[in-house]
Amino acid sequence: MHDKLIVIIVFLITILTMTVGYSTFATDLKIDGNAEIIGEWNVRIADIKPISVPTGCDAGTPTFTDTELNFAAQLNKPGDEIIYEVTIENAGTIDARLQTVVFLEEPEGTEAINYETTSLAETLDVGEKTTFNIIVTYLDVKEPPVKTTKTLTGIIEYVQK
Amino acid sequence: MLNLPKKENKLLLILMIYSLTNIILTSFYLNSYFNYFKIIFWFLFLFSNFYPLTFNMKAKKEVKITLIISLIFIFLYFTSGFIWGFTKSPYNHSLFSLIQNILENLIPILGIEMMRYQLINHNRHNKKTLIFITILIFLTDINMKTIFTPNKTILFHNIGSTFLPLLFRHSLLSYLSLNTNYYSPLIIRIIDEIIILILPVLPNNNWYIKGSLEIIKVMLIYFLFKYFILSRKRKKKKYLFTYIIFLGIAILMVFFKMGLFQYESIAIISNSMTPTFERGDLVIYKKEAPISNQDIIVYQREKRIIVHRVINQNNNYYITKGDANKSLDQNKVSAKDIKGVYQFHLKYLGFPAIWLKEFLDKEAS
Repeated sequence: MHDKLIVIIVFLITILTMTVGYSTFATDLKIDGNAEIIGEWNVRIADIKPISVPTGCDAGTPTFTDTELNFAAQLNKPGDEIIYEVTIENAGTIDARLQTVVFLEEPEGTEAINYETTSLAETLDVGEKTTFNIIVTYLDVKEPPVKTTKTLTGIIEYVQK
Repeated sequence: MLNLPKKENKLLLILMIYSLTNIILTSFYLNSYFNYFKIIFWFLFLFSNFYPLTFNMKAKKEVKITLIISLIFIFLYFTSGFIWGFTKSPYNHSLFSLIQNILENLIPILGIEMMRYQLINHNRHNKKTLIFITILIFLTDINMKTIFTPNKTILFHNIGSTFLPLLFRHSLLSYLSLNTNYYSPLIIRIIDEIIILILPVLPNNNWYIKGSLEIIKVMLIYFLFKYFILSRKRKKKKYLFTYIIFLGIAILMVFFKMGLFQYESIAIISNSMTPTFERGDLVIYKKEAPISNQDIIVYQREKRIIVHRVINQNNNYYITKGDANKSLDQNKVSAKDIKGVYQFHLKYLGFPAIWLKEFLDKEAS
């Protein structure tokens, strides 16, 4: 058969097969949505655990989902410091880079509690994990604090590298 | 292996090693290592003895035509977003990331196309070698882990949207390298691949639209070059009419399936509407048509598409029933769920889609 006809036939068979496939999937997938999945974006929190808890303090049981984590630290006396280690992993198929890191302490919270966080990895390639620490410290203040709690909220944003 | 007589054989060996490295590294999520390796490799290659960078003034006409065609297609691709919507580009657009992404792509493109030109033109009379070279270069351009996945549905999508279009594109680029020079493939690749990195928004095309438009574009460029740029004036243009017909059919088929026309199709997978139509038939329906009692409508119920007859209607709700069913459908159909009204059906043409679905469902289970 002539080469040029082969080109036409291969082209038509390809388009036809894709059209049939699209008909097949179009009946099962949401019609108005984008059903295309090429790469998988999945940067998520993998773990949080207390790694340093002085005697008399309680690090509680931190919990986490892919995108949120919660912890409740109870400090006993000035100088006490609880350290949590947070693990973030890139479980998708797209390399990531850090775009935004913001941690905010509650403005009205007690001045006796201080939060510190260590730095995060600038890049997180596929399959990689990174950790950072959240350090909660009971500061040595002159007067006993009126308020005894302070919250910390944070946003960590990774984007495609 | 160490005593290769020709420079081109050394190039072929380098290409084989490079392709194999790409396959291995991308199969194991080691893309970032390969990116650094790729830039250094092609940077050294470009300025080594293998390839002096020159520009042939005789190729000015082809360069101009390729530039115009490529820009037109990019423009059409971008404007398809006005039909299907836009989405934010997944690429980071900070200046540093932009420069990094462009360099990571531009340097390998330059190197690969020059290598392709050299290899193709020194093997121009050996068809099998030409195919082999094209496949090797194609293998340098695919990310194994991104395309090949255990999920059969996603695999089908990836093959349709990425694997096949890339294969078609590299075949075209080899054809252009063989019949023109390396400028046309370079221009096509630079415009296609670099501009995507720069645009802040991209058309929100699904896998079918993306893949089929890419393949049609390749065929159109091939057609334009073959019959209007490369052919001599007095040479008989064989198969021109055949090409136009089949290209036209393919374009119409794709546009029809994309939903650009008033009519769409759906394969029937059950016998609930027997004897009107049966499993395996292909129903053609008209979108946004007025609905009367006894009309057959196509509507969506959660993830399924159902084609049943309207028995009664009241205040934007419709009561439906399959002709072969004894009772009415359990749920009322609201106007917003209706896709269209049955017009006619084509016997048995729905079976390929049904067989494919059953095959994939069986594999999944």
